[in-house]
Amino acid sequence: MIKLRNIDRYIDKRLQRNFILKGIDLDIEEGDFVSIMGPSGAGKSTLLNIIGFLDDANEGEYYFLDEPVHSLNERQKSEYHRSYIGFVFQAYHLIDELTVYENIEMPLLYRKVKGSQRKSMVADMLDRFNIVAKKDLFPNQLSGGQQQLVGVARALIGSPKLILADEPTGNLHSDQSKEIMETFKKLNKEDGVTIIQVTHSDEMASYGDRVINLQDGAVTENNPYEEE
Amino acid sequence: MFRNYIKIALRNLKKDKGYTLINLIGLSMGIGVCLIIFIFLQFHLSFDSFNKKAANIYRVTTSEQGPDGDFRSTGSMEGALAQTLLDEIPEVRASVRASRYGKTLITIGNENFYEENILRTDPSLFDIFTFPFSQGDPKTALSDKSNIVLTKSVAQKYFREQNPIGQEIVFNERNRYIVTGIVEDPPAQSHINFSMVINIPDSLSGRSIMDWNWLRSFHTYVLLDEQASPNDVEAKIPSILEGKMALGNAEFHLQSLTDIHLKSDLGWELFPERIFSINYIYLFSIVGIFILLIACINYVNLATARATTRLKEVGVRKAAGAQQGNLFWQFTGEILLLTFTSAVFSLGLVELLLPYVNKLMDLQLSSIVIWSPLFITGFISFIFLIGIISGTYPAFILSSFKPAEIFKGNGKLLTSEGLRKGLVVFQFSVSMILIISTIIIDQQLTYFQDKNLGLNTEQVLNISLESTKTRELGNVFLEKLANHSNIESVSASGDLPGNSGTTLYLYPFEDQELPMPARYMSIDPQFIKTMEMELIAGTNLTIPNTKSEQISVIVNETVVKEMGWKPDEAINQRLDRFVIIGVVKDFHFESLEQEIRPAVMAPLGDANPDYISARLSPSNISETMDWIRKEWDTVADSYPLQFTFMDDTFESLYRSEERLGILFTVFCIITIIIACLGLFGLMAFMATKRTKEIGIRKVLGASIVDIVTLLSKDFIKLVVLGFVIAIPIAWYATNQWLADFAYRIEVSVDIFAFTGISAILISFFTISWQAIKSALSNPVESLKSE
Ligand SMILES: Nc1ncnc2c1ncn2[C@@H]1O[C@H](COP(=O)(O)OP(=O)(O)O)[C@@H](O)[C@H]1O
Ligand SMILES: [Mg+2]
Repeated sequence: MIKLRNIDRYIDKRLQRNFILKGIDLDIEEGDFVSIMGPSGAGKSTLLNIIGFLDDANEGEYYFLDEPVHSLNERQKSEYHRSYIGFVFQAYHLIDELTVYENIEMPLLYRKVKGSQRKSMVADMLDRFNIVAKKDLFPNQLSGGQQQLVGVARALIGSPKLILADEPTGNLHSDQSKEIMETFKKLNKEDGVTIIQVTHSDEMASYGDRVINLQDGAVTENNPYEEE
Repeated sequence: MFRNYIKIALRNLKKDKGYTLINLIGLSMGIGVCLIIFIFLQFHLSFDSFNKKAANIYRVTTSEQGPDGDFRSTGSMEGALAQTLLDEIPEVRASVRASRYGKTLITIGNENFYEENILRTDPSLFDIFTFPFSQGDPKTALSDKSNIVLTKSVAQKYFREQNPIGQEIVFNERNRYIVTGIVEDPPAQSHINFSMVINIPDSLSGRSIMDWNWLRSFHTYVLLDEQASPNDVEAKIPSILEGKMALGNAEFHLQSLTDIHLKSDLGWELFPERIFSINYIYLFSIVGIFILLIACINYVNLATARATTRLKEVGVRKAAGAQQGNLFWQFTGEILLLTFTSAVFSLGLVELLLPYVNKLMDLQLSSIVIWSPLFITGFISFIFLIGIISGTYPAFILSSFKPAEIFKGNGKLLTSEGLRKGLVVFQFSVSMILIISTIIIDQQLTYFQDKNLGLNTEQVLNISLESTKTRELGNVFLEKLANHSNIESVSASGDLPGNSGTTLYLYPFEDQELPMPARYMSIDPQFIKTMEMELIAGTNLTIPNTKSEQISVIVNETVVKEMGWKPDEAINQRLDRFVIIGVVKDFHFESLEQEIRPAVMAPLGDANPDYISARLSPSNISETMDWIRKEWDTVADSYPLQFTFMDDTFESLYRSEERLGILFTVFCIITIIIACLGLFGLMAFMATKRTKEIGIRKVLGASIVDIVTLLSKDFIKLVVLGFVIAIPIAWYATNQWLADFAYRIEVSVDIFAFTGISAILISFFTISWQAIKSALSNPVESLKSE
């Protein structure tokens, strides 16, 4: 599903070139539940952003569903964001001016889903995450854990095939973290959703099938799919 | 989707009330002032176009080299021209002559009144121009020389409920007229104005009006065929007149009716108060554009500065599949919401302010024009355009962020510091140019009022003896005034400074080619004293100046200078048919826009005076006036007293400039308020953004002064830069304006220094408000919020 070959991401500063990612080779198959680990500043977020088309690599090749990503135009990328990829952020990134309900509904608007259908889809999500009572509140009226549940609900509403989660439980206490990890695991096992998450915690990583270690912008460990 | 945008736009606008308010106020005022300027310009630009045949009506003018070598344009034509053009040029469908009959004594029943704006014309007036009748038939109303047509308001004034048709009106106690038609009042947008209309007489002083080479006193209009080319017609005129009149070097022109109001270059107009300078049209258009630009800049600046607070939303929306286009329209939609709300407010503002503008400018501007479907369509597109102009850039900046940059907190990298600074500099330059212009206009107008005129116009009462009867009584009345203790001095004259007057062409030397044009006034011996003019050489006129060969005269300094004499040397010199016996210090007898010309004052002698001037003592003026009125009634019986105070007369020479000056000042103040609002908002935003920094600095020991300096330093630099740019532009523009005035102030460095310092102070206070507020805030609070 995802095939990275010799990916470089760097920043040019005056005379110096700072590599954030260097020579990344990575394959992720449909149905995988992958955890990316590594110290702060290793380039985990950058890698995840590149995978999710939020950022572009400077060098190397990236094939998404066997299509070269550099040949996708903005419209096609948006198309994938709308229907294929869901994002969960460490800082939740809910829109402060929209209510819980409206935040969850928002991706559907870009997918031009009809009003009545939207209503039932959002209602399902609210139900699933037990936040029906909170639907008319604004993000700043919620606790961190509740906000992240909304963030996950928002990521899932489009029934994505791929979920990219950057430290989704980084700001949550363990009960809330477990709840979210259980949700991910269920999605992965029952619906075959591919999940790539960044985490610092072994415990959270253990929900997945596979760990990728990143150190100074390079993959250092564990890639069972590596070709010979 | 759209609902979602509206919702988020409204919530954002509500959340940031200060920001919303600044933009709303700025844009409403900007659009409102623009609308008022639009109404004002529309009024002037569509002058005379109410005439249904306006496109085919032309006024005949000539430009001719005068005896002094200058080219002059005139609209005063020979009486026979109109008929000749109609007879000889097939393209001319109709023609009409018009002349204005000065203030006239009219008698209705046994009451006397003075009436101005009496138009003498031909019956074809009502065929060519669109002046609809409410009573009578336009075709026959002027069929007889004894017919008169009144405007509705004049008929109402004199006849009230009575039917005016068939009533008699007597002019100057001689000429009797019968009312045969009532016409609607000429619109405010007509360059022809009248209260009564009569026929032009067939002859004057026993000589036919239709004689050539005699009388040139009729403005002449022609109605051309729809397909006719005015240039072709124009070219035919000289050959037709060949042999009929002395053409000299005169060139004939056809001036389009709709050009008259703004582009008239005639030395003398029938209704000069209905002529306007096109330069003012340009000036006010520029001011309008600037006001709007400054309001738009506020939006651009505040929106780009605030963009950072919207970045997270951009990132999230993009990750959810929004394309740049979606976001672009979302943000543009927000400004459109703001501009359309402002537009609604601005319409209210126009309704609120227009009456004041009308009062100030003595106009009857109507907001009706802005409620026409065509204007509304245009206005909506215009508001849309403003939204696009000011919204596009911030929307583009915002929507172009890459989500990865945003989430890493690197969003600031792309914001447009440089552009913002540039726009602030622009705003301040424009504001300062306007302030400087306002001050200079004001100084020039004050200068007019305060300048030593060479005579003292205060407390001088000028009584105008309009009719033959009252002129005969002039000397009797003068005697009475002279004996009153509260009247310091009285004199009689045939003309007054401040009137338009007569010009004589003098030939001081036998062989002289070019004449010296001089203003001619006849005065009595008390005139110099009453006007408080200063005799600098020779003697005053004496009473018995019997009909000797040579007329003794007093001249002004300018005559003496032009002749190359010293004042003393001028005494007993001959000047054309005059002998100089005295020289007075130069005095202004025209607007200060004009340079003082030579003036010759000859004795009034036995002639009946046209004016009586009385210098009143400053005490008990109203009592004195009551007494004068009473005396007048005993002497002049039923003739109304016609008087003016001389200082009013002089002031009225600049009234239109003064009014325009005030209007300009008001617009400038509004511009400056809008610019300051923007600066205030920008500063408020900067201060909140740096709350944390300020907190940390305070914890580390920074004083309030340190913080205020930190926050204001950058802005003050911009204001100073704006000032530096403003200086040369303002210098050039104001000197350009002042060049039109013969007597003008020097543009002094003080004004620039004053403007610069006040602009810096105003912006400093605007900035300090915010800076001090954040400097005083509790650091613990601000640090906790992060
Ligand atoms: N746009 C950028 N400019 C400069 N440095 C960057 C930029 N983006 C990321 N970096 C640097 O790249 C490194 C990796 O960043 P990131 O991917 O966020 O690491 P992680 O998520 O593993 O903590 C960090 O040192 C960060 O400072
Ligand atoms: Mg990270």
